[in-house]
Amino acid sequence: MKNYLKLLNFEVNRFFKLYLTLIGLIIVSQFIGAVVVSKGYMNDVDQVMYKKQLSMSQYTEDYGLFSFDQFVGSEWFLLPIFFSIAVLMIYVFFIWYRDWFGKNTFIYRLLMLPTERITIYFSKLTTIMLLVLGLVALQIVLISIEIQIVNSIIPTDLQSHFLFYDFYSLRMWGWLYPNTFTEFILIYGVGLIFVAVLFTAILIERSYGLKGIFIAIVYGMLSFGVFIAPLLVNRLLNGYFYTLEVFLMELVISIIVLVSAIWIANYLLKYKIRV
Amino acid sequence: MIEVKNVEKKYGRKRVLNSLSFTAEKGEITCLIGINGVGKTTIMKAIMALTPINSGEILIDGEKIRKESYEKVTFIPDTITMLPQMKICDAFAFMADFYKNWNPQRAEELLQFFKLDPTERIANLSKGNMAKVNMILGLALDVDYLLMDEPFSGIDIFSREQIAEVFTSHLIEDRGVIITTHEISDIEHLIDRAVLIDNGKVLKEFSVEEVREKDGKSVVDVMREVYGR
Amino acid sequence: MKKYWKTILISLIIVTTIGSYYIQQVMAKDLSFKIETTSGNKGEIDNLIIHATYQSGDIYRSLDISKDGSTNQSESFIRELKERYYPVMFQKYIQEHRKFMRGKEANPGQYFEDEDRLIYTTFSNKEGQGGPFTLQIDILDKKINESSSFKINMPDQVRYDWINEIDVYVVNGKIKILATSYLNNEEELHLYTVDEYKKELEQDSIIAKIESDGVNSASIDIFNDYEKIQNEDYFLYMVEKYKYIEDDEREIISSQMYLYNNRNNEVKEWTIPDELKPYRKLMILQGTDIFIPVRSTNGLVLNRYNIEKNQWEEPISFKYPSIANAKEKPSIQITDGKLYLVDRVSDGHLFLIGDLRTGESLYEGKIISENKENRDADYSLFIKQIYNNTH
Repeated sequence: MKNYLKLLNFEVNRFFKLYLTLIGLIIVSQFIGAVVVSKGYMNDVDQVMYKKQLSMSQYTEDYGLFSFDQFVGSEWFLLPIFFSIAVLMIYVFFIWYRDWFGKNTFIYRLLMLPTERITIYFSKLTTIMLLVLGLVALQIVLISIEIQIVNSIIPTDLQSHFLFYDFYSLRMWGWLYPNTFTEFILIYGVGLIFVAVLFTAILIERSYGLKGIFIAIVYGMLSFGVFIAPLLVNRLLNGYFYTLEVFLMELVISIIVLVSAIWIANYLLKYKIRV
Repeated sequence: MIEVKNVEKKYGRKRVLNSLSFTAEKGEITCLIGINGVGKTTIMKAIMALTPINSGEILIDGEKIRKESYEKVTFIPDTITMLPQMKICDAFAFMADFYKNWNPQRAEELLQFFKLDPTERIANLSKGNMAKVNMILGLALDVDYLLMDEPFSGIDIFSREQIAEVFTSHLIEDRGVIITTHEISDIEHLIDRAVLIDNGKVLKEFSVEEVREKDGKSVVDVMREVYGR
Repeated sequence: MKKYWKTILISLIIVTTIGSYYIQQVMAKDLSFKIETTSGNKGEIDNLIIHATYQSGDIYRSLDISKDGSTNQSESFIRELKERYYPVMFQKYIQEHRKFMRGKEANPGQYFEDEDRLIYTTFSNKEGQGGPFTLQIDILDKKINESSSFKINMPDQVRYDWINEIDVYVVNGKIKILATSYLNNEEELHLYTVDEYKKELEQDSIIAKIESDGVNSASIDIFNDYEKIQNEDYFLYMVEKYKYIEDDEREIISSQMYLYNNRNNEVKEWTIPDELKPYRKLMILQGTDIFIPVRSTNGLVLNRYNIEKNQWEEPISFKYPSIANAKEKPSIQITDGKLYLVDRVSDGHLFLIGDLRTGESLYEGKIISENKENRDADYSLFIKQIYNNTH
């Protein structure tokens, strides 16, 4: 357990500089965007109000209100997020491969540590989860600041009422910030299983070389197939199962997929891995 | 004692290790001799469970390797096993954090002996210095067995001398050392046992001193006989 | 410990931020509605659940409002799992007849229920659109809790893209299925008669048939209570033919209404007085009455036509200051002889329950937001269904 924490801390520290850069990028881009979008909107409003000699309430009748969604849908807001997602996705692979390649043969050291080798797997898995959840949490904090920024530029009379917790109903945010805590655990749990399966696939490649790539792909597809099996079976049987039953089946299957991924990874790390 | 028993390993079609067997005793320096690609590095990795074997057995003090074994045996490969952006002191701190058997005073001693600066980053070291740091990472551990892969390869003559000095010192005395090299002439006077390997098989295993006294032959002489050159 | 600060910092931020996000989510009281009684019998709302959607700008939320206040429909994940695909009325069926209800669609038009039995019918064309159909009928005997089912292969020439079931009822020992079929641009209103003892399709009468071709279009509308699973004596349908002129504007070519008597299979043409024609799309047939609601700034007027007596009765009116809002139409539901009305008024929504026999208001109340600041905010409440949870 202690070694797990030590390795976890080690992995987090390794990525920290890049992490801060990502955070900086997100903050800068989103804050600038909040100002730019709000000011742009106000400019348009002022122009129209001046040209057509409208009062504020007349303007809102004809042209509607400003919705916070206009900022959330802008490139200022979205681009740094997509960029971060891309970086983290790459790191899911890189967090392993970096220890094999380059001037690094750090993998020797990791595999020679007096600890169960699966600890390496768990520490890397936890690191990815922490990095992802960290950005998720950051965004919540940033949104509340961005609301303030927008409110300081656009008078509230011109805005449609935005409840902070309605964030989830905007576009695809419902997936990242689901309505209930239960759903949060479920969605990020699925994310965890996804990363776990990817990790095991990486270890398969590292253990078996070229043919390992094929085995890894087969393993990945098998895991995916097993994962969606309850849904497929239910569809084949024309909805024989009630939603709650399908959910419970999925829960069990997910646990099976996760446990298999970990078990295979443990076996590979102990007996099949090659430097 | 480290026992390698009938180890087989295939890599694709090629039989890299062909029923290879030998033993290395504690307190002795055993040298694996052979041309490049004959399996010396592979056998060391196999002992450390850094590469899988197809069949055979490797025992360390009578046991198969477990996580605790890494406090008993360590491996110094010919590349550095730390992150390049780490400073030397960071690397030492890492070792101290994870290994109970890390001896910080000895690490300090060796650092001074090799005249290295602990605040230097590993990536900025010369090849010779990097090899020295790598060696410290192994020597500063209070392990029973030390495996060294080509400790002299590509090192300048002065660094080589320093490293050779370590071999004769108290740092090595009670431990079991397995070393691979093809600079046999440099260390012939240091080693206790020689294991000649060709094509993944042990051709001859012998005590250096015995052979010198009994037959009056040097290791190189035996090599010429065995390899036929 | 000091060298762990980065990991600890990230973990702490995650736990506190996401933790407080969800704690506040649960405690967020700004979207909460209640029903305030203005007059009438409070007991009327005892078992009622109002399924509503709240909308403000781009934000949509599902709510259930009852006498105890409102609950965010998605608060309980498990409940949402159960209810998402099965509206509340089916929850009861699933509870009582779990095995029978497996794999069945949640369309009330496919079910018939009386004291003894629950019947489910479904058309399917397994080979895809344009293929032959089979009609499957599942019958559950509620008293002995056993079910039986049989399949009827529709005649091979019967090819449609799909068949949409509207109602199932049992008359004179025969199962009748009212459905519309679609094939390319043709739409037909069918009344199928099934003999359940001989297990065959006795008759397929096409009551109405229309064609659309882009410019000239037509529609068949049926004005019965969609949710009602028990027998109705009549059904009312309208066939309209119209033409599209510019900009989605329609010009009505012909419009005719028909009253179908389920007991003797007689069809009668029915006309609606000219002044009520603009409101014809809101008609509701209940039992032996046809209602046409007309809403004005004074309130609601329910025009009634009694089918058996063949005459227009005295309209029932309910007076209240309505805000005629193009966006939010009044929600009118007629169930079991009562009118349930929700309409926008100045500081919330009026909720009115009227007795259709006596024309009296049984209950009047207001659905208002608990958060006083919210009362003037620009939001809309769309009522999906008002459900009586007494079963």
